[in-house]
Amino acid sequence: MWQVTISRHVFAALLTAAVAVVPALAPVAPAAATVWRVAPAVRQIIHTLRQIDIPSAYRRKNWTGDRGEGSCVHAALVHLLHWQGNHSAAERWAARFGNGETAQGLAAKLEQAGLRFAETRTGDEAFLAWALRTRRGAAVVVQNGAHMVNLVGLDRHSAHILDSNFPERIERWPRAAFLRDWKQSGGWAFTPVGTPSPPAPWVVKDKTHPRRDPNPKTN
Amino acid sequence: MRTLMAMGMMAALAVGTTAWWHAAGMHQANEARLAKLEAELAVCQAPPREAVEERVVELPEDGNQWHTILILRAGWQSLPSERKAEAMFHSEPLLASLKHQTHWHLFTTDQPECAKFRTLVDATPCLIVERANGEVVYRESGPDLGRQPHALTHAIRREIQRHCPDGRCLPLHPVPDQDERPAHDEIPAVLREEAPLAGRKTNLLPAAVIAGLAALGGFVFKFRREASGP
Repeated sequence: MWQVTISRHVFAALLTAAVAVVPALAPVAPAAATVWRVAPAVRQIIHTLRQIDIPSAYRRKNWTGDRGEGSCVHAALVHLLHWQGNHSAAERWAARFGNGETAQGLAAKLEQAGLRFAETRTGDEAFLAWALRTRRGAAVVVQNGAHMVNLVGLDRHSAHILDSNFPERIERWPRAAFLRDWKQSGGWAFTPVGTPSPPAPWVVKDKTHPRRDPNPKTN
Repeated sequence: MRTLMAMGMMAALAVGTTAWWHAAGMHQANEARLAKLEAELAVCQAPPREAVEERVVELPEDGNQWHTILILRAGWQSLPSERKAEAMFHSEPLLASLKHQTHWHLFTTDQPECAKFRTLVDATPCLIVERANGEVVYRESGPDLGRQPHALTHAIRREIQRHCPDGRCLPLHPVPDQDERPAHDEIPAVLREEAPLAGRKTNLLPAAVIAGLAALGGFVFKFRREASGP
């Protein structure tokens, strides 16, 4: 009887141990709640992740070509090449090309220059969404096909426009009005498929794991 | 009678001629119409000029791709430590893979793009790895960068594990966006650490303690019952 009782207790102990060993059955310790405090500057960075902020040093004012025509298409392309880190191509393009341009003409020139690009000539809004989702930006035709500008942001309410006639500022157009203008102008938009510029950096401050970094930046 | 027959024949001839002439005219008109229709059909069948030139290409969905940023001093080509840092991204296989699996940027301190990183760069060369939302996952700077490429890769992995435990990173866009797609596997493949199942050790100490305490409790209970028994 003594032997039987010991065996029962040992069995119970072993069973408890087995339950503790099997991870799936082990009790889960309640996780400490993590509280994230997002600084306003970081909030601002994240809010503007899909806006293309071409540095002013790279913005070109629309120039007049040798036929006396404006070069808005080329200026818009030069902006995007700079933004995507292809500065040498941007400089070469600005030095070589000018005047008005057609979709066919530009495609031929881009192919000749060996520059990868993507475009729509049918007013496909998904193309614009893709260009901004991947932070590449786009050049878009407006004013019944008479002008081309850079689309540098598109949210639910506004289109953010960089116009080479006024490169020092970003204009906001009502989203619906912009899309209507673009489509009425033929719906042509393009962008080089290069490397989009990185977003502004921010650092997560962790009190429990101090960074080795002596000079972290929290925006 | 003969006159009547002649007149009848002439009338029949006239009617026949008219009919033939009319039929010929009709045929000509039909021919012309047919030719026009064929021409129209040919225009419709020919693909429009725009469609011929349109090519559908796979657009890269790389909006969630990380960025690897190497910041060097202007004129880095003549500075050995900076050149070495740049070279390791060609020579060290893991770092070369990192370069190809992320958006790679080489900036010099005099470039406008470098302005937003200025507060993070206390010395050059400076390496920054950041997520698509700008969260800095790794940063290291100084002339020692690139001296031990393997250790560098290890350190980057360790930091990634800290920022994204078990491959789960913070949401990329805390701002609600209905078009947002969940970011799966945003960590570059070369830096994803496989959980070594074989190497994972089970700590048996708690189990042994529990078993020991349970056995001890059993003995105590048994002895007390035996002692208080008749």
